[in-house]
Amino acid sequence: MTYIITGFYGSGKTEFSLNLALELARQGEEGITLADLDVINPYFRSRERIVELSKHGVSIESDHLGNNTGYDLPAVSFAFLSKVRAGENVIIDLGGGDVGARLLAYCHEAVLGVPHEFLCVLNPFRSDTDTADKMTDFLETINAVSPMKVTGVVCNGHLLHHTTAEDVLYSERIVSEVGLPIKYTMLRNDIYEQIGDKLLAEKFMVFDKLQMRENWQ
Amino acid sequence: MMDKVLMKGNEAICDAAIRAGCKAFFGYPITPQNEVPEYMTKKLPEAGGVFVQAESETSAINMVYGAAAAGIRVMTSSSSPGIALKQEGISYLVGADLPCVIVSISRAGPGLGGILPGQGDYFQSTRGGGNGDYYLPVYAPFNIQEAMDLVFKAFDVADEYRTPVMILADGMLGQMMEPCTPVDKKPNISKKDWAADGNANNRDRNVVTSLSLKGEILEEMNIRRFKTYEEIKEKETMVDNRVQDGDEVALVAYGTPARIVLNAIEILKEQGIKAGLIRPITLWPFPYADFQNLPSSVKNIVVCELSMGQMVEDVRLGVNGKLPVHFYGRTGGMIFEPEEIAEKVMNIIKN
Repeated sequence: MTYIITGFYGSGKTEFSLNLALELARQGEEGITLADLDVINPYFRSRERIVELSKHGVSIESDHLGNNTGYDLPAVSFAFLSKVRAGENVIIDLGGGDVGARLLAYCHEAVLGVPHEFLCVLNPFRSDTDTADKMTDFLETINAVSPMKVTGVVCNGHLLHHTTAEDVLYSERIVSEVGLPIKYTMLRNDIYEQIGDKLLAEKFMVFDKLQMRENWQ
Repeated sequence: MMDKVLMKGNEAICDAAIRAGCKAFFGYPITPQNEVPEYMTKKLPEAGGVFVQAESETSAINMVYGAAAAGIRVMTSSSSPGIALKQEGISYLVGADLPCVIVSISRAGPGLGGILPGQGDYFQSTRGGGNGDYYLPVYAPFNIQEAMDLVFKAFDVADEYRTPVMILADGMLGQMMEPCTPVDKKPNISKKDWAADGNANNRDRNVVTSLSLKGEILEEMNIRRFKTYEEIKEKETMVDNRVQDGDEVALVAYGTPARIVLNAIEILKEQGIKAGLIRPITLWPFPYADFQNLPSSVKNIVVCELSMGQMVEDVRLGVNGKLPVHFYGRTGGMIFEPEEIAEKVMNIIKN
C-alpha cells in the first residue's frame, strides 16, 4: 500500500506520516519505507527522526546524499519507487502546498499501479484553511498540479498542547463539510478517551507525544 | 474558540507587521526566513500594501530607505549573511533618521555557514556592521506570541525615535509553530512632518539624507542621536528577570534557547539546586542594571548561547567583576539539551 501525504505548510503532514509509519509497524507490517520528499522547507523534516524510526523497522529515504538534516538542496532520491512498484508499504511525505505536491509528477505512474491513498492533512486552526471553503480551494490547488486526485482527508485540528476536545469536534465539523471521506482524525490519547465515540472519522491516529517537538518546546 | 490560531514564527511576524500598518516589504529569499517574503507576497497586497522582491539584500534595504523617507511603515527581513549585506543600508537609514523594521532570522555562521539555527549574530545586531556611531534597538522574542507583540511594538518604537529597529530570532523560532492570539490593537501612526512625500507647493522641501559635509553640523547630529539613545535606554529596556532571593545561580539566555534553559532549571531543582533565569528581551539597550542588583544568594552566573560567546561580554559588563561569569554554548546549528546545561551548572558548583 502506498500512502501519499499532502497538506498546507505546518498542517501536520510529517507528524501524521511518522505516526502512520509507527502505526503500521505496530500492526506487524514489514518493510515500511517513509519517503521524505520535502524540498520546500529544510526545517522539521521527517529525516530528523531516522534513528528513532529505524528502531521500529521503518526506513527513511530522502536525498541520495545521506539524509543530512542540514542540507537545503532540491535533491530527492526516487529509489523508493521500486518499493512502491513491489507493493510494499510506502508513505510519501510531501513538502507543503501545491509546490510540494509537484514532485508527484515523478511518482504517479508507479503509484497508480498499486493500491494507494492520497491524503490531505487539514487543520482549521491554520488561517489559510480555517473554513471548509478555504480547504476546498486549497485542495483544488493540489489537484491542479497533481497527476492524481486527493482521495481522502486527515482531520488534524489542533492548537498543539492547548488542544481541547471541543477543538477536535469543531475541526471534524468543518472538515466534514469538504465532502471527502475523513480517513483519519489525529488526536492526543486523552482527548480520544474523552470523545472517541462522538467522532466521525473512519480511523483514528491516536498519539501520546508529538514526534517532531522537542521536550523543551 | 477561534481567538487562537496556529502560526509559524515567520508568519506571525508578518501578521503583526501588517496589523501594525506596514505598507511596504522588500526582501530577498534566504533560509530560514523564506516564509516571511512568501507570506508578504500574498497578504500584504490584500492589506493595501506593496511587496517587491529585490534583486539582492542590498537593493532591498535601499528600497526600505526610499519607502521610509516617504513616511510609510516598511519592513525587510533576511538571515545572517543577508543581514550582513544590509549593513551599509542600515547605517544610511540611521544617518538619515529613518524608521523601519528589520527582521533577522539567524542561522549558523560565519560566512554562508549553514541553514540550521544559531545566535552568532548578537554582535552583528547590537554592535552593527555599518559605519559610524550608532545603535539599533534589538528585540529578541522567545516564543511566537512574544514575536507578534514585539513586532507590533517595534513599528511604534521606530517611529517614535526615528530609528531602524531589529527583530532578532533564531531559525527555530522562525520555523516553529505555536498557538497565538493576533494583536488586536489599532496602530498609532502619527503624521511624519519630515517625510519626503510631496510638498504640493505649500511648504519647504523636506530633504532626507545621511550626507552632512559640515563637521560642526554632523557632530551636533551625532550628539542629538546619542541623547535619543539615552532616552531609549531609560524607557525601552526590556528584561524577563526570574531570579529570586535564594537562587544560587543566575542563568542568562535570550530567544528560544531561554526555553531550553528553563527546562535545565527544572532539572537543577530536582537536584536541589536553586537557579533562576535572566532573559534580556531587548539586546540593545541591554538590561545591565539587572546584573548589578542580583540577590546576594547568587554566587555564579552562567550564560548560555548558540554561539562561541557574544552576549556573555555584555553580561560581564553588567556584572562588573562582582561575580564569576561562566559560558556554555553550541554552534554550527547544534542545539544544547537541557541536560547539558544542568550538568555544566552542577560542575561549576562542585568546583
